[in-house]
Amino acid sequence: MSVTDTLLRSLIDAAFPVTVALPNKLSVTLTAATVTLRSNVARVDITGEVRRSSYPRVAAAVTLRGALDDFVVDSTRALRTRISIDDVRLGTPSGTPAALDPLVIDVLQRIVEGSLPELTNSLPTVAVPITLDQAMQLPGFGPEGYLSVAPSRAAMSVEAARVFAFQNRLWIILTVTLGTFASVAESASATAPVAARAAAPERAK
Amino acid sequence: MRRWLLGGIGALLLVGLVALGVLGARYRPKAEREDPATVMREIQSLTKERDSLRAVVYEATATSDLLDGRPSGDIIIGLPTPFVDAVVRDVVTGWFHDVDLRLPPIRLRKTGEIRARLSIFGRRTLGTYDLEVNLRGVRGRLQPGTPVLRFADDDIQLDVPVRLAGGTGIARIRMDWASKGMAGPVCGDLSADRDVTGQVRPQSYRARGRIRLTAVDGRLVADPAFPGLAIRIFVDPAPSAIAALDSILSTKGGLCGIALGKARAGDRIQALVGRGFNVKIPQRFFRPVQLPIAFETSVPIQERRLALQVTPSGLKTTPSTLWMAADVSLAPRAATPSRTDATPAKPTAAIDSLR
Repeated sequence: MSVTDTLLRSLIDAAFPVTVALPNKLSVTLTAATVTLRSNVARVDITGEVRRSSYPRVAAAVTLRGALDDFVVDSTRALRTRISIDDVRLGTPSGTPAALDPLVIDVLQRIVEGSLPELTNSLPTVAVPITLDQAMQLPGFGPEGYLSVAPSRAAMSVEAARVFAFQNRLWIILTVTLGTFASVAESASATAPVAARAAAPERAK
Repeated sequence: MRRWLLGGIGALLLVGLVALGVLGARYRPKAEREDPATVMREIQSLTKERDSLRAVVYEATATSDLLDGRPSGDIIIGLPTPFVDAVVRDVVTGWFHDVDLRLPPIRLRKTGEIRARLSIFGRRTLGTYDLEVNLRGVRGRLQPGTPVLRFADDDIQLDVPVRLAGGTGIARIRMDWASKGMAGPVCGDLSADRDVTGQVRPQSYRARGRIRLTAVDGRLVADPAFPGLAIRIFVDPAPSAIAALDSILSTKGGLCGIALGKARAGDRIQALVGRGFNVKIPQRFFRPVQLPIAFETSVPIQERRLALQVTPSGLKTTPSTLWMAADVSLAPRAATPSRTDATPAKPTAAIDSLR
């Protein structure tokens, strides 16, 4: 299956704004994302603002650079991926004159960089709007007239096997394994397939 | 002694210094280890390799028919035809697997007159018979063979060998004999009544039909049709049971025996049930089957669900792939509350059907 960069960006944007509190009375508010799917890179740039709420008050534009990563078919039959952040860039500072010193911006940069795990955790999980069933059902019939057949079910495991970013689309190769059909009573004890992960396309550098 | 001790310590220090030097050289910072010019050459080489691989990919994409004919849309689902073939085979096999065919109680009746040439008396009526067969509990089971599938446009043509793998049944057989004419005073009337077991005769059939692929509510649905499919069940009464019935009738000797022998009860029972019983398989027996992937009309995002407008944009079957595509946009209305359970979401935005 494949999905466009436009749709992925819409789905990520729908989760914004996201505000994350950082040490030293700093907060980062993320407001928009761009998604670039090219040359097997699923790059995500998220823009926003970092702001200090007490003296010296300072604000700067922040850009988080990362990639879509960790594709999982979860227990709710959804295909999800996370955004991993590799790099933080700050720019266009504003605030009290003292805050415009490059040293202050450097300190801000270090604090935000040190908070990458918190920032990554605060980012939305991106769910691709498809449903991947974990079983196939064949309805029963009758008994009606001369005929009757018991309903049956075959367990199915779906794994996101490989992911490619190509021509502005994200291509996700799914591996589907269908079990054998058994009557519903027999298959009730079958265990549900576990969630599976896929390697992400090459990370943006 | 002291000199030896100092020499030993000196040697140890020397070994330690040499080891430190080697380790320092081995694990010195990368920037110091590698000559910048070498690194640049390596970058250029890797860039060249990447570009050549990219060219290979573009050429392969341009020449391969794998992606040809796919519909456009924000989301495209492509099912390889071998996968669809395997799923449909399993489904079709499932339809015919262990299907229990059960005949309702059937009453068959045959009456007739028995005439025979009695030497100097010429051809005479010996009597009439009234044969009634009440079949009950006749059951058979269907077992499928390996279906043959052929993809054509949006249809899959099917040819499924089906075997009626035998079964059993019971018949209550009653035969009344009323003597007439010359046989009357000798034989009188006679009645025999007996349960006869039977076997459903194994038979092979070919079920021919098609599966139409449609997209309904964002899901690919295989809708089967087997027009006019019928299975004919033949029941063979157990020879031992028929022989037992015949033996009751043949206890009479002389003219009476001739008359009852002419009646040939066993043959007539075979003739009655020998034509078989037609079991029509109704079309509604073959229910549409949903293939296991579908577009979703809402997605979880943070602590809520985001409603989507999903508009199917194409369904196409190519020799290699079955494509289904949809355009997706955020629904104009507000998001619905978060679901806390793991059940599938109720659609919050309608999906138009492709057909």
